[in-house]
Amino acid sequence: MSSTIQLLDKNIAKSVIDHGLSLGADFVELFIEKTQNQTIKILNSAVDDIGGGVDFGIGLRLVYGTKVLYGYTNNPSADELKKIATTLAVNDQQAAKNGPVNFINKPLSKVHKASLSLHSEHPLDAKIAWLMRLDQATRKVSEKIVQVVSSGMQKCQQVEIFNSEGLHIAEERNYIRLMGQAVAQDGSEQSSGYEAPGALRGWEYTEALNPTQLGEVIGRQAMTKLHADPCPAGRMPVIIDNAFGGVIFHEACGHLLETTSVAKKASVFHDKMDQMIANPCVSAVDDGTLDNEWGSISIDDEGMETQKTQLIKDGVLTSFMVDRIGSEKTGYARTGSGRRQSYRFAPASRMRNTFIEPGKNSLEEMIASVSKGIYCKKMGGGSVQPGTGEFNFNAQESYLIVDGKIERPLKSATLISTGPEVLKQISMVGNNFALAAGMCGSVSGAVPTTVGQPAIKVDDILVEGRQ
Amino acid sequence: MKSTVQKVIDMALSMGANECEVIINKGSSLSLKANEGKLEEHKVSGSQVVGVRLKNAGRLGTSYSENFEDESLRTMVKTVVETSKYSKLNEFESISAKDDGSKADATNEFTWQEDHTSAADKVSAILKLEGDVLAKGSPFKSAPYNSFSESEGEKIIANHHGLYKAMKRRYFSAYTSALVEQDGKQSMHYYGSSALTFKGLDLEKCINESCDQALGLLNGTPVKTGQYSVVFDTDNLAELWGCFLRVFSAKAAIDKVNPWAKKLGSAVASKSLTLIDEPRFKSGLSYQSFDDEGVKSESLKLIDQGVLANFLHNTATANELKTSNNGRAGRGPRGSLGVSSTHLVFAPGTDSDSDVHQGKYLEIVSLQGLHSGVDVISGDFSFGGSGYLIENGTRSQAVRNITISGNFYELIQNMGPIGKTIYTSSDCNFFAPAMRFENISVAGV
Repeated sequence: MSSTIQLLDKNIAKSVIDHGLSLGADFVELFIEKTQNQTIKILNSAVDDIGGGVDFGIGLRLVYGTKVLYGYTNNPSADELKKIATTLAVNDQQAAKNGPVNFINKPLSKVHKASLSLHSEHPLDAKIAWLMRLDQATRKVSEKIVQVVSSGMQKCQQVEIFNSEGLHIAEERNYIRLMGQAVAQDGSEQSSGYEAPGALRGWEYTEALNPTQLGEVIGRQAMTKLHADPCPAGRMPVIIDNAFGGVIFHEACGHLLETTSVAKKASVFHDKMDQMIANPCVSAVDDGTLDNEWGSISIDDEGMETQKTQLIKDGVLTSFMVDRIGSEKTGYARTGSGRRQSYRFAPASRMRNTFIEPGKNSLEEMIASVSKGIYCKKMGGGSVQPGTGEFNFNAQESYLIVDGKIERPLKSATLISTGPEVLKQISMVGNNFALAAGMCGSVSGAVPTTVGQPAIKVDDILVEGRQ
Repeated sequence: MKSTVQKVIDMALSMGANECEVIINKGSSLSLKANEGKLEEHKVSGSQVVGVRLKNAGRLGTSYSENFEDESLRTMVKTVVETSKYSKLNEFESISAKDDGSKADATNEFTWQEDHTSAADKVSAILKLEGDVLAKGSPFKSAPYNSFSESEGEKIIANHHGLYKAMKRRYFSAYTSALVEQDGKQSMHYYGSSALTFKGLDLEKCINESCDQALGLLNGTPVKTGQYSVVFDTDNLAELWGCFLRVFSAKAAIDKVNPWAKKLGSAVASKSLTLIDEPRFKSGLSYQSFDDEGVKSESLKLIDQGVLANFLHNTATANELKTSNNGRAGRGPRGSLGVSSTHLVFAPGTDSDSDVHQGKYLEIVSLQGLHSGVDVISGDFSFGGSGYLIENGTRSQAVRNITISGNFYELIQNMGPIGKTIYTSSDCNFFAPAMRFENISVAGV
């Protein structure tokens, strides 16, 4: 797939990188991106909007030591790119240290196939029909479902990377994400349900995704919360179920393991390598290699082949996620974790598919072990203070556990703690491992990431509710 | 850019479109970051994007391109002409705005000011934002997140009726953070400033607020779980209201995702609350005299003494709800037609600030989880928070690791005192007096 991608003339790339080297830069890189996207939105059981377009631009990075100079433009001419390099280097220009570059084209060792990409001319009406089935199945759950919004997003991102070390590599990434949202209403009470599965694939992803079942899940979520009781507040044990439950590890621990924060010593884990930072039952991974997963990539946005990175093994910190600049600053080897939203961003160390590995306990065993607590079946979003790991997460669907049994649904449960604290409080890790798609925002923009875990039991955490 | 606009309109009409609108954004930016006394990141950009919205046999479509070459423009228009055939028939949305004769230059007076700040002064600014935090010494450990940026751009809105509106905008922004560490405890706080000119940036306030709050919250502990009166600082008050702005959207009302859809003319808040969307507020950074369809935008009361007075309308929503368009179309080159607010300006209350700050209450200076802890449909919210417990005018306890929850729509019907003095958010888009919210649930210990 990479051999067919040529977004920038190789001679232009060489002349620009040679120009950057002539300005004394230690490292020069061109990141060229062409992204085609299409979104179909169904509202009121009709096609509300079909939108899309093409993004094209070039990011130019010059590195002096660990200082990053970055510029971007939509203009692919050598003159424009050299002008940006000269402007950027105005205060740093020095004698050239490295000679002219010669590129060696590097093939991809792994390709994530997509048979029905945006290039396939898969008919629009087939896509609309799938989304309409999702709409109808969601509405069918109850007459109290008063609105359904569904959408399908497809994106084809082509990237081509040249750098002053002679690297020339390219990748095409095909993304698909289906979203459904339901609003339920009964008198003055309203609630909502939401699911948004996605993959690094084409429209063929929908062949294994039943719109009827997905619609029923979304509709049931909205109905479950409609007359749910307020959540109790206070410290208590919490069972966080699989898949999107992993968002807590992602936000409260994962970000603290990126060299973006480690290099600044802004992470509480910056000096904890090889130390026990979690309960011994916890092992965690950031793996960019999984076939066709939403957060997978063949190469990172610095052109390095991606990897499986063992972050925590049996409670011990074993690796950070490391990009080129992070490696320069910390001395840790790169892990293929340099990512960016688009050509508008310089790359930074970011997560890919990040998850807690499966353990031995069943979900039933975990619930049975709780005398009074909360079962969070589906987590919502949250946020974290990057320096301290303080987090706040909303549970989209949760239940009260009393005497080892699920008693009734709850609304608006929020979990609050710190990443380091919650890692120590995990006492049971389940065997029902699953992944879920999400978007992660950070210094290099929003990138597709997968979160995941089996169910975990957190012995003691602050729960906020309204009761 | 005029020729590009005309080219796209001509292409669309020649391919069968009945109506066509073009938006072009073109801009450049500079951003700087510092680390350990040196410039760590220097970023410059130049960007352009053209977006087209057209109506073809009663059906709408949108598309965009970042490449302005003829072939790319033709592909963009051809794509949208084809895909629009699958959209629903839309009798309400049309491209109908015509030039009202007003001069765009009046807008530019407030959105574009000459600035000749040297590159060296800009570098000095970012080094100061980091350096002044580090210079405070222990327990200040670093200023890990800091930025100075300057953006300028031009936006053009044009359509097949000959409407052509152009607006230039330039603004500066800066922020820094302070990370404090002592006795195994950490605390971090950010503060930012935005202005139309470099000189308008308040770098000292960025530094002092970041340092004061990071240090002040270092030994923060949760308060006892219970019901508290809460006063948010202006930035967090803006964030809180910002989570629920959908209640003013006519489009959300039509789409059945606006919980206030049927409350126009009804009491939705305390009588003491009046909220105005003011596009021509001269102290704001989002001054506009026309919206993204090119329709004139003027002052609009959203809540008038507690009563829901107006929704934000564009041409389509006004047609569908059989009312007049108030010029609040929101659309970028990449998107379809929506609505948007401009500057949110609250009317002064009748109480003094000391009435707002009397007795015991929680002063909240930082909220977390804003994008996830909100159910706009029900009004339920739950955020992490940090701040101070105030008792009789004194900060008696720094507070961290609490969550604040409630139902926003219920809370604003039972507001406590509202002050007379109007304060401005750091992004200069929100203007409000101090407000006291009563009986908010707080979970701590």
